[in-house]
Amino acid sequence: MNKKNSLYTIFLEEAAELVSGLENDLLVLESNMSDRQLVDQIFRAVHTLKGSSGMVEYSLFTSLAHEFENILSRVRSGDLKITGNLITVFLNSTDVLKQLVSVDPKISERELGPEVRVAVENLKKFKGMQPEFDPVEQKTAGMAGENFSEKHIQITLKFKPDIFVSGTDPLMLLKELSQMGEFVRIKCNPGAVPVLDSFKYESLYLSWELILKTDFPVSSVENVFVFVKENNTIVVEDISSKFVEGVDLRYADKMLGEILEEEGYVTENDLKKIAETQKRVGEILVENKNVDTSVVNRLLKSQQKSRDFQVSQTIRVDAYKLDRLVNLVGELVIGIARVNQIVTENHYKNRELNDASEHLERISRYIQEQVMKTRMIPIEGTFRNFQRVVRDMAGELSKRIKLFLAGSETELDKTLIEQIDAPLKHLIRNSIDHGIGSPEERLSTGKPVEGSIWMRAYQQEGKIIIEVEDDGKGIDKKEVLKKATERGLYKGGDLSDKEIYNFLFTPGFSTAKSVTEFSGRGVGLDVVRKNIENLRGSVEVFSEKGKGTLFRIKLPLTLAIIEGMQVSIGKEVITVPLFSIIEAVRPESNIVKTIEGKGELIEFRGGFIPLIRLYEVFDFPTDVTDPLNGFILILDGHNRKIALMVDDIIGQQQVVIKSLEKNHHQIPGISGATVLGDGRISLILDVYGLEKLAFGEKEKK
Amino acid sequence: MNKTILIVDDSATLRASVNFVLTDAGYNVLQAKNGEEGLAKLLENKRTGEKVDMIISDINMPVMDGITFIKEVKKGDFRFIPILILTTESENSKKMEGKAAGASGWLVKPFKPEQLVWVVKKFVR
Repeated sequence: MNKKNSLYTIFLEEAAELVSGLENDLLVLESNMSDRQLVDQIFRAVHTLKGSSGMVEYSLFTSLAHEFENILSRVRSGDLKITGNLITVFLNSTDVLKQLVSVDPKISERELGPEVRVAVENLKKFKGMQPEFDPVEQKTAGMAGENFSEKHIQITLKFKPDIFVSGTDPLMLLKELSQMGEFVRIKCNPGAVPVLDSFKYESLYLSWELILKTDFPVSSVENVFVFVKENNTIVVEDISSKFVEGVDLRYADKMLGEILEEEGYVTENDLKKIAETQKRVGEILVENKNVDTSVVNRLLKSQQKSRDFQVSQTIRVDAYKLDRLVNLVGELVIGIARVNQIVTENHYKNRELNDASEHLERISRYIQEQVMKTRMIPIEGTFRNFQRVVRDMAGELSKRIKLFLAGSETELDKTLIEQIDAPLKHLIRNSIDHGIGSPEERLSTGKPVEGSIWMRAYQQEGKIIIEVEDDGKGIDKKEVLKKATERGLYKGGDLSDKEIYNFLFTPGFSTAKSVTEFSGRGVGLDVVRKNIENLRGSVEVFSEKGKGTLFRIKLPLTLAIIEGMQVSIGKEVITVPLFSIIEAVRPESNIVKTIEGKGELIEFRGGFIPLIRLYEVFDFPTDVTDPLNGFILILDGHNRKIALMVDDIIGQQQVVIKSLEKNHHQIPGISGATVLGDGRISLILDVYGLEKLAFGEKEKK
Repeated sequence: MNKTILIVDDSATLRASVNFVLTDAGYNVLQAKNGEEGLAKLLENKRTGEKVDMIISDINMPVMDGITFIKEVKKGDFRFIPILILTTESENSKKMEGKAAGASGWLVKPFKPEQLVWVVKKFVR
């Protein structure tokens, strides 16, 4: 209390001083009405008076100072000309302020309330009024009128939960808004408020949807959020066109329930609950025997179909245009990554720039995602064609086979869809021809006469997975090994299932005893694998003799961009697709073993993995030749793991693939190149190519 | 070690109010009437080896206004000190200017003591 009193005393002293200065200045101004500096000084005094009185909560004083300041700011901005009349009003107001300082605030309302209100009214007269004889003044008034016409502004506020930490109180923002006009709608969404257990009192869980009726331009409303707009979702939109004479035109198309929910009177849940208890029109009509159930159901179906059509409205776009867009966005991402890197390196110099560039990067990622999505089409079409293939082929081979499809809605890049068709067809033919036996064979092994093939597509860990599975004979490992020995591929020793199945993918390898019209003519799984690897995918086989076989194809979501890990070898930076990396390890003890005939291996998790020294393969000069000083990446090779030795790991970033073939020629082990954030060129590793390059060479040696 | 806050405002009432509130909350408070005095205080404090942890500044002041002051602060050794600007609800454009000049936050006048303490706590830890 004591402090409050002493604060008040300070205010009185300050105010008395300012008011008397104000009076003086106004008198001087009367003799020299064009003294802008003096106007500024007067404005400042009144501004300070307003602020100070606000601090001591002397609201009567503040109300007058506020209006005084308003008119003065019109003078400052040139909207209002100083006239003798105006100065008289200013002086009168100053007198009232002087009186307000001299009386006890407790009785000021009773004593001076009416006088303050008269002074405020007198000031307000200058708010929009212009001297009629001055055409220039009239013009500015007209312009002001256009800008400051009444409008409805919709404001959506979604703050980050930790907004309080940055010292911002949304309540202050709302208060500020409320001073700019009148809220036509206030809806607060409490949806994100968690259960008490996980409720953090320092977090904000609410978001708002507001409609503000205001005379201020949209920009002024936006300015309220100048400190928070970067990190939060703030949308300010002029929706005046939807309001005519205060009527919300959008209500016409809405149900009462929706409107109530939008206005925040009821929640979505309330509506749902009610909807559950309510009978549908159809049910009531059926109950009253006005109409038959079958009719209702049929019409509901037609209605749904019609709605589906409406929903999936499409625009046909030339694929070439999309390709160009994808390329351009790729360039954009590279460009922004460069800017971002430069900004990060100079981080401490300009925080604002840093924020802006991060924002830009985020948006560019969204754009990229969206653009990529425009190229995505469901695999449904491809899948559906196989129904026919299976039916026709099974018929010709006198087999009974049923095809089950799952995940047809999975979306793939257009290019992928086009190019995956052939490999899939091959696998399906393989299943029909070699996998599923004749009805007699199947009967004798106790299987249902009708064979099944499943095709599934789904997304997993950022990859597209397509599976072709049959319940046929499965792969006979012994048969495979026999064939491999015949062809000189297998030289004895223990092999894992994966390694055995790997033989199936070597050119010209077939265990089929007969050559049919459809398969088994040498165009084998090697082509399938090559096609899939060209799409930067991989294919795996799982099989159990007598039970069936599963081919699993993994494909990247898109062809234009990959997530890559940047590694260094000497001065070179190589990008390794993250897709292929299983693990990155820093060797702690000497884990490299040399085994006669197999080259270098590293011991890893109880197994042995062949080691590739990248600097050797590409002949890059480097000082790091001891694996202990470098890093080892465990990569997913051809159905086996391979270890790659590099100097160091630099980082991880999305890169846009640039083809080398266009301007150069294909290099084994390299699938393309990219431009990094710092402008350097980085070659992108082709893991399968590298595997071939490294071990092919060793075998030659 | 108490944290030090510099309040720059031409209103004696406001300075006193900030002083009371923040002293109560356990801060050292330095006062300046305008931007020029503010800069002088900063330099003086630097000489004595003390540190200013946060600046609260008004915008509209005689001699040197708040925007110029912030720009000056951001130029030199003191650029890392967070600056909170004081505005009134009618000064939206000032808020933008303040931000552009390098202010980290703002507070609308008049404010309640707890509002002030709360914001200061967010900036000074």
